[in-house]
Amino acid sequence: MIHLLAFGMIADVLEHPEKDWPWSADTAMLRAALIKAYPELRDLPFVIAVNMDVAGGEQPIPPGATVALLPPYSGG
Amino acid sequence: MKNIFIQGSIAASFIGESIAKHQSKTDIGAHAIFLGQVRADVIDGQPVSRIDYTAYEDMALQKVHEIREAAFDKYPLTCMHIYHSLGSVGVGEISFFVFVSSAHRAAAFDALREIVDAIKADVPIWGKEIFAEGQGSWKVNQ
Repeated sequence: MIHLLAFGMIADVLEHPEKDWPWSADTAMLRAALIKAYPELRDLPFVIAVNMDVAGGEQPIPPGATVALLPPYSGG
Repeated sequence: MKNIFIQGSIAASFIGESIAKHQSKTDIGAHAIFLGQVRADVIDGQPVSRIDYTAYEDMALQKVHEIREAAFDKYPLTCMHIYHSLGSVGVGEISFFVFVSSAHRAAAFDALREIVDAIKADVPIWGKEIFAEGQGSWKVNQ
């Protein structure tokens, strides 16, 4: 399992901003699994942070990682 | 790691007290301050009445720490203070306060702009613009 966090408009889609979720080996596979479960995510921009790290492009996910779905930031 | 978050708006008195605290630091010759204020945008004919801010707090504090260290490495700054609101901030209220101090003005001006831009681009904070009627739409930064 992984610990999944969602923020902003992505949290609205997932209904719960925090949940346990089946492990995927990398962010591309996780994105595909999420879109299958929540088709609305296909049209929404978001990056995936693994243990608070937003790598450029896809990255592996260690089992038990905290994985966050981050839509474009709008602080300030 | 230093906390930057303040629940609700940032009061003018808090900003005034922050300035006053620097009177004992007599090597400072220049302060530069940025204040972000919630604007009453009109979206699809509906006026915004407030912004509700949320953040991925652990990651935000880590990112701000990196931005702070990079600015201290690059510019001869005496000190730096960064605050951002969480929760509801009404139009006309302050939600973002960056305060840098240095011996001379150039470093303070240049660092301030870089820090403000970096925080808006790289720190996971989100604003939801709430309309007078209650519905909202997720803010998009320019």
